[in-house]
Amino acid sequence: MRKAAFSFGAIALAGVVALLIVAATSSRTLSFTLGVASVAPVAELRPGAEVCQRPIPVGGAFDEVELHVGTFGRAGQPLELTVRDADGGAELGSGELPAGYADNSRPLVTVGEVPGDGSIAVCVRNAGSRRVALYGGPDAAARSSSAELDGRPARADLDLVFRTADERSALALLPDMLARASLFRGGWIGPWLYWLLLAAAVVGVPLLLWRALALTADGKRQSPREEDAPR
Amino acid sequence: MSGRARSALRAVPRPLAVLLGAVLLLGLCWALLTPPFQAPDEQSHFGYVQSLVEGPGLPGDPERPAFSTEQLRAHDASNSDQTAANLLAKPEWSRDVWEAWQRQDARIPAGDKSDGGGVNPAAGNPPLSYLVDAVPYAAFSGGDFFSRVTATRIVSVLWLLLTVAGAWLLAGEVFGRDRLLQLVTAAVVGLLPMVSFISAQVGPDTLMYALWTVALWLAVRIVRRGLEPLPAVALLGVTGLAIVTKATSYALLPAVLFALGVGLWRIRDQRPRVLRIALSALVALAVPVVVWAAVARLSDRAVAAQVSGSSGPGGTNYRELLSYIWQFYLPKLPFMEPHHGAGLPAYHIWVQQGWGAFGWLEVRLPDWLYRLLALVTVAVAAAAVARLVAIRRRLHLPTLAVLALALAALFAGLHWTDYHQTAGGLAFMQGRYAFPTIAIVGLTAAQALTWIRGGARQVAASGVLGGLFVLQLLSFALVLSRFYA
Repeated sequence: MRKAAFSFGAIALAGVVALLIVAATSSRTLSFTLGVASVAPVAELRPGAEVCQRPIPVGGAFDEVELHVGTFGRAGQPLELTVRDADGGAELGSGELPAGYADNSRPLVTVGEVPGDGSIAVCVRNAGSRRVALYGGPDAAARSSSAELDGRPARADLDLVFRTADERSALALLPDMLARASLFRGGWIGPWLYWLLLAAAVVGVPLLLWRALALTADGKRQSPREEDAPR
Repeated sequence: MSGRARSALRAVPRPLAVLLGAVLLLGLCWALLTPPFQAPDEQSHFGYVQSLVEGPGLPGDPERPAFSTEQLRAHDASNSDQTAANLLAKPEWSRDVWEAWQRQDARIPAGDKSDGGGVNPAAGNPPLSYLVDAVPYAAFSGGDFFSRVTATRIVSVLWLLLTVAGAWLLAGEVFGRDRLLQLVTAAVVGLLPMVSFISAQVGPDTLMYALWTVALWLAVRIVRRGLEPLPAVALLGVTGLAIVTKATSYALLPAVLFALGVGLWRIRDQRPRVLRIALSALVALAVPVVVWAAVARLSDRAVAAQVSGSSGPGGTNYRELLSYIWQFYLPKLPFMEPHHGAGLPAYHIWVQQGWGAFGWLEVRLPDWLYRLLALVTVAVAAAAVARLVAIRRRLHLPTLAVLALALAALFAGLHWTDYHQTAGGLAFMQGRYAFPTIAIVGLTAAQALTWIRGGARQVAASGVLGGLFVLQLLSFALVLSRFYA
């Protein structure tokens, strides 16, 4: 049994260590997303036109906004992106996307650090001389938020992704991930339960499996009571 | 706790009890890690449960919306529809949105919970598992919508424990009281990531796996130990319950009737006993099936929608069917019309989706790992078959026949349906559809281990359990990363 216990422990430990290494070395920049899947170009921006998506509940601090842009097969036009408070309209951040990006691409616009609370509006204005289009989904994609093109309902939602310039490892993100996982589960469930489950999965489960293996080795010395038990 | 319950608990073999503890913990992790409705058709299954509890009853009324207003709002708030199968979209992460939704749900009028019940992909299923799920739903009816989803998922995990215990008992019949082989059989069932994932979601599959596993155990018990009234009634009763859980379970009938037939044949000279057992067993089978058939007829719905809809409108070309099956498992020959897309379906379906493809199947293990797991699968299956050949003179053929009939009937039904559905341009086959026979997969792994003797077998078994544990952790990491990073 000693060899079996050693081999089980070695496999389990190697697995945990390998995962920790991967988690510590992989990097993430995603802060949150509007959650809209790109299905088509939904807002065509002629020169000078502006599309705004609002309100967007902020899921975390960010300083870059990722757009999905179409250029009708030509070089991308310069875009101005502004982040405003959804209620008061105060500017929280802004940035420019220089011309020249590719058709059907997902460029990043740096807007400066925007705090991770409240509700915002993101507006994109075409500062170039040719049309471009932003991709997104139907208005129902983000039920509580909508896009407006030059102040009129666009009946669509933009595909917007909010990122941080500072890369964080998956391991550093773990507390955030567990807090996010605990939402939409029930009022009595919080991140604390996820830490318990994590401990149970990483420590409790291998100990139980190791014990089960050890008990099968003890099987030849079962109590008479167990001998009478069902198979 | 009563004395009888205490002694029943004490009768549980300790390795099994400890394994069940590990499986329960992993199941809870899956239930709480997978975002709501990020498992195949879970939203439809939950809509079915809500329709039963809140009204109007069995779903499928074409005049009504598929889901209640409350459920649709929950989809929107959690962003579940956008996230489904779309790697670029994430569930809602904002605590503000979650808290705002909770406040809104607390004020929701009762009518917004009962205005669903329309046509959805689950509406054609028989009702047993949904009736069972109605219990945790009702118990948490004072809580918010997602409390009810979570409670229902947690109850689903309990069925996985029954599946694992059933696999243990089945292995006990097949291998005798060999605790190590029983542990390996049950551990493969309880620790395979895809089985854990599916078993921790709302839907009828997890109950179906449990009922199939218990039925296979009872069937093998009967052909090995002889026919007694109680196991016979239990076998047919469990089969009836499986049929009213999911119509796929009609595929259990050949194996179950074979076991009953073998048992009755052995006592054929005791005619009154034969009649008594046969009659009571058939009544146990008929009661749930007939009750459901009557309810279905009265409410103008198909009794077995999956079975009746499996042939599709196009008829059957048997030459093409053979070609389809060939191409499912082997490379296409030059003279064959192509039936599938790129790649070998057996690899995509049985290997990739069998070992692990989570969410709406978009969360995948690394490709190199799938290739490795394919090699492991083939090697284990080959070793098990070779072992059967090596011990052919000692084989208990009725046992083998029961297991082979269950496999053959299930796979024949699946391929029959898949052939007709794909001919009509629809995708049908998924790896999880093979899981009713997951205990046979566990037996196969244990059978392969019997090549190894002495302490080395224990080491090999520890490799199986260790490997499955690591695979579970990797799967959790992928799901965490996919949905929350």
